[in-house]
Amino acid sequence: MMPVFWLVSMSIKDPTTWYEPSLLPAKPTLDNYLWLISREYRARFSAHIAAGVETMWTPFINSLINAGLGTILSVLAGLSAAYAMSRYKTGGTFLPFFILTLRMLPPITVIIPITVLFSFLGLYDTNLGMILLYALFGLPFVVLLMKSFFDEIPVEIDEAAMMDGYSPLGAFYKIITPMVKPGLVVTLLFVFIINWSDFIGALLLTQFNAYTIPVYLAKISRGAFGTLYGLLSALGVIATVPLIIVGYLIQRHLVRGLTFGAIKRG
Amino acid sequence: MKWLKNPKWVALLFIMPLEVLLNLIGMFPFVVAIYLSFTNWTPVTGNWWEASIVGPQNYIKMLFDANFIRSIFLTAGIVGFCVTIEFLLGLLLAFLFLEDLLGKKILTSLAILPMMFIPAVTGYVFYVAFQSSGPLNVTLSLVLGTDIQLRWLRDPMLSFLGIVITDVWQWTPFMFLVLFSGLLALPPDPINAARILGGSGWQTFRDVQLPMLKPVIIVALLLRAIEAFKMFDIVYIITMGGPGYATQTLSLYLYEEGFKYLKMAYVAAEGLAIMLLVAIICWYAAKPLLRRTAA
Repeated sequence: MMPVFWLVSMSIKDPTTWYEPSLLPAKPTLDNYLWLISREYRARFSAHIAAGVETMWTPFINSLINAGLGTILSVLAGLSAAYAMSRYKTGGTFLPFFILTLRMLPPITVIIPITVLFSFLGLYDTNLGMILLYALFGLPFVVLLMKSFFDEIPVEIDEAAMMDGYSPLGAFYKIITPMVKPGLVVTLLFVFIINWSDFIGALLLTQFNAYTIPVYLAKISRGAFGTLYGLLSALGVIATVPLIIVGYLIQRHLVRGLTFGAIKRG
Repeated sequence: MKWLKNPKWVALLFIMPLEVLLNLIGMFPFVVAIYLSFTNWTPVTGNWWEASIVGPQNYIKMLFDANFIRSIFLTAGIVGFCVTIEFLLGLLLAFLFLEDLLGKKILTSLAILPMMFIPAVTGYVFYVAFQSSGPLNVTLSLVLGTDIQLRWLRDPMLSFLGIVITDVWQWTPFMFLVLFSGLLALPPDPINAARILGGSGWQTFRDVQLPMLKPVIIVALLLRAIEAFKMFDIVYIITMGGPGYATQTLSLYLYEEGFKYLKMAYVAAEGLAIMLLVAIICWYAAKPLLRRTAA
């Protein structure tokens, strides 16, 4: 937990004390945060960095849109696919594996072709483009994780549900999916975190419109006299907040007992 | 709508969105990368679609490239350490959280907090921490009572350890959450049966829960290992390859070759080779997973 404290303490230090290994700064200041939020407060730092850089709101909102919608899209597409793969063995043994290989490619290798593809499709520097990209990157996670969670549940439950009159679709929605709810929300959280923290994709595929927090972070931390730890930490803290909120929200679903009473074994 | 009841059609409907997305965006860069790997293209020689094909010389060259081979082994080592430690710690935490603890909600939030940091930020935090006069040494000194002045970033071994520490700190919550939710989704009947039949707590865990957890465990390990293999932000910020080349992971090496030396075609070839290698390894590792484990 120490690093968390270090981060927060760095974010409230003023520039002269950045390199001190102290936990509580002698004179804490909110300057770092204020710099990020509003333009008017820039005057304080003009000696250190260009005051012409934008505030954090654009990248923040972009991050929310790109990562959020991308994640939701991933989960929607992947959930049903995972179920099909688990129950009906769609795509045999090859498809799940092939999906996994999507993530094995070092990003550097494909990033240039993707840039070309995006500009060809008119998706360069657009939110839509980033959403699609993040949806694609998230798919392997969603499919593999959810498939393994589905695999944990015996088929007898499906069959029991269908004997009770549910169609396969109904069984999927009403019975099985609630049972894997902990797995589902955890998958959601992960994919969101991965997309939220994506750097290379955002760096090369956005410019002024759709750029996200990690890119912004890189932009603001270069000062004329070295790395601006205070700003960096402040942004780091702020960037963590939405993730914490999502993490907190899913806690309600990390509950055991959803399977209680699902089957009465004789 | 009768056909909706037929499982085969339903399965197809389920898969459709996935297929479309994949094909649309995924295939193109992949194919281009393959094409590029047989050329000798660098950005300075013009447009990539006009590059001349030179056959498999990239692939041959990389087999003898000491830097490349070294970075593979180094990365494999880092991944091995990190994933193992994260798995064990995560499993421990997962079982711990099954009990009714005081303030569980807060503890859970704290436990998953490290994962929420943007890797670049974690990198900076640990970069400062690993300084000779930085917080880590100060804390160690306080705890151990003597003055510790480890020079984390100057020593190859310590740099390696530093990277492992950083990665473990950041990603153990991943293992914890996946294993935890896996544990939660297990049907309770076999577990209760085992308890009633007289198994001790530890025995129940080992012989009943762990085997049922196998698909989740394998997936967690696979996913984490694949991600760890691509580790970039942390290493870039903390050691930039380490003292000399001590921590030059694969991503760092590819980055240098690709963006500093501009040998894009070579990087494409290497990237594909890596992917093949990782794919083969994972294929064997995942085989038990691909069989359906429903009893």
